[in-house]
Amino acid sequence: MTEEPLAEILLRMAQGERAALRNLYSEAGPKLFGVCIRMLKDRAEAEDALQEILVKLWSKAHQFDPRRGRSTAWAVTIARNHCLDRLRARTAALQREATGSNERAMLEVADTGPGPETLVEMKDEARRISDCLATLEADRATAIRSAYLDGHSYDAIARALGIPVNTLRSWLHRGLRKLKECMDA
Amino acid sequence: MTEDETPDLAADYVLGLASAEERARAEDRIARDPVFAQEVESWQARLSQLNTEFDAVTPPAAVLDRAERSLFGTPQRRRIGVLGWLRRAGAGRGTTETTVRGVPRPRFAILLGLAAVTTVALMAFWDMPLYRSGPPLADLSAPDLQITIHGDTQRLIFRRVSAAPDPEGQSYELWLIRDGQVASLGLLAPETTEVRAEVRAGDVLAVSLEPSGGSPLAGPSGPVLATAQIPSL
Repeated sequence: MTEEPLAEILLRMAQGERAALRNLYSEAGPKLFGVCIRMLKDRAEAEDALQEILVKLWSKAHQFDPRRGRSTAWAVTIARNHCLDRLRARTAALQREATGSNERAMLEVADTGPGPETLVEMKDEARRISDCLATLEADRATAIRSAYLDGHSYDAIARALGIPVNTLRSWLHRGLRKLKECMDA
Repeated sequence: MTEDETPDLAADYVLGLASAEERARAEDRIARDPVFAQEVESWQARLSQLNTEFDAVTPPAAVLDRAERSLFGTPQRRRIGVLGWLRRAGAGRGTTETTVRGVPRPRFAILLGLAAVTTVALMAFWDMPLYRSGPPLADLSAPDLQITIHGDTQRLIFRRVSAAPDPEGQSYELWLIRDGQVASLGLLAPETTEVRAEVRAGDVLAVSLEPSGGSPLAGPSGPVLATAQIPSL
């Protein structure tokens, strides 16, 4: 996979080559930092998270298998999971304090879809999922997008939409099954 | 649980809709259930197409420096030429190679040169003045597992705060990462684990979920659940 410089870098990291971490930072750092900023919505926290993600990538690099997927997607998955863990830990802390302050933030759910220009600019790779999301009811597509890109939880989305969690759950699962059928077709 | 729910749970996990507890359960299941793991991987592949919507933002160089300091002890660009070469040459000497998915890997545990690392599981009622002597040095915190770390330059005491038992058929394993080398500190005992090891500020500790008895590899083979850096001692 010569068209994937990151795959090469991960293999070098797996062999303990320290300089490779620096290459990873210039190759994938901006994308991974973009993930942290979008999900955590706080620059200082995003910087801490990115540092922890670099440590994770270093210690997990030997688990990357180029035959099983693309290197960027692999690194983004690790970054997203790390941010999700932080967000869920934060939610648990908020619940303990019994504040409802994150409800307001979650109301932004309604306009997280890309605007028309963004759709046009979007790379070919993303067109298939966009086409398939477009076949779903608009609020389902928006909920799927906001969960993946912003890390919103069931509770938060249900609150923002004013529906019970169980309703949201079954309605989203129907949407996801449809998305899967469309994408696998 | 009906068969039909597996794809839904996998999608929930990948989308990140689940709570901390549900996420931890899903991660345990990924390690145990290949069908579920496959579903998760398929959803990851589908949804990763949305990754183009994450805008790239240039991160400050200081973040890389901090990561390098925690992994290697010092930022790489300040260490040039001979010293770096010597360390690499030293690291290459006397190592045996194991092959993991076709990638040769050095046996890190041999490299680290920790003089005897011994792990002693202690009874809960054992009087441990170190816990009482102040706040923990650091903690390892994952959705289902909370560990506080006390200690000094000669030993570390890992104390499991959460009551949840090890997932069935699996063990938690502790790791020390220094200068980019990973060494096992042994398995996490049910309550308190004391490890005699020379540690210093900047070392990184990690806990991973492994098959029962520990990782078959020189490094973690399962998910790394949490990492923490040792501050000044």
